[in-house]
Amino acid sequence: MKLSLRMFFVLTIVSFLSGFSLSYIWKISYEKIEIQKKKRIENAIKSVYGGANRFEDEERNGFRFYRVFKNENFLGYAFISKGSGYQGEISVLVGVLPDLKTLRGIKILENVETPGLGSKVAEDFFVKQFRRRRCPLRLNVDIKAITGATISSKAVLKIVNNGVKKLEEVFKK
Amino acid sequence: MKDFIKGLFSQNPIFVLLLGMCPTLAVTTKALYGLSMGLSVIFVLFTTGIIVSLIRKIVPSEVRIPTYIIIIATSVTVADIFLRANYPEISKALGPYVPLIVVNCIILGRAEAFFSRHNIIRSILDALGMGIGFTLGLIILGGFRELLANGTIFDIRVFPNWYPNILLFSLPGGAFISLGILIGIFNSFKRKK
Repeated sequence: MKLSLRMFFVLTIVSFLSGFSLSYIWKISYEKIEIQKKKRIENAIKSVYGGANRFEDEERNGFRFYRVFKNENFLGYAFISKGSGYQGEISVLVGVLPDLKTLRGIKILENVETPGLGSKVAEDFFVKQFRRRRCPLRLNVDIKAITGATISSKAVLKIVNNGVKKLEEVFKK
Repeated sequence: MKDFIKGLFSQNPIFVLLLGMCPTLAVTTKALYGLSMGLSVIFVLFTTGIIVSLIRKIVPSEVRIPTYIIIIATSVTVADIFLRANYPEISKALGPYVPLIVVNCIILGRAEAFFSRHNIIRSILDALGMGIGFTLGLIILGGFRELLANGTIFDIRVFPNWYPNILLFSLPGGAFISLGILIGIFNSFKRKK
């Protein structure tokens, strides 16, 4: 066989087989990945709302949020808010009580802040400060910044404030 | 057997060949991340080793590199999907470095230098040796950095609580310093032999 033809065949077959096997593996894993994602969010909501056991997700004007229930009692709202930190994106799960102002609590889902400094925003002592605070939050009035990580602390505050504002706007309309 | 052993010591990818430095420095903030990265690399080396050595006589040498890259990329994507489906936390922590295994020079290097010239059994031994050598290197480096930065190894406390965590070692600068120290120790052992 001519060389160019052989090159053509080998590459085509290799690419085809690779594409085929990948799409198959994606198909059998896709559901599992989605379940994992959902589980992660629900676990985060549960860590903010102790005792929550039912969630309804809803999307309004492009804003996605969850209504959180314990049995039949409506506890409040939860949503994921994202924004830039000191390096890269921080994503925060925010729980807001039905008055749309008071925080139930927050949980940092993802951050790539400096390990040991900015990454402390995900630790309990910082996150706990957000419980039962009214938005908009002010740095060093409502929430004490982390020493050496003022930018990361500010970023979390801004992400939470922005998220709560968006939730309010959704309900105003 | 020689093919297997050489990856562990005399040709260890991290401490001797200094291959694959990008993930080595980036993911070794903790021993656990080093281990998971290492296991993904073992998987990729193993599957590429088998496939490349099986098809080495069919692939024309003019297109061998693109062919290897496709095979490597496929196997890396499989590893990535697997991690995302089963170990989302680890997948999050390793971030972009799992997909980046595609351009890790250990794998293309072994495909070109070894798998494409040897039969399947020797290729598997070479792949496992190199992979395990890489993994050991990552665990040692990750353990070293985790110990100095947090006082723990695999999240198990080793140093007492009053140990002042030297955060430098979990930062990029600390990665270079640790790697330098470990290569120094490794080489002084080698010289004594």
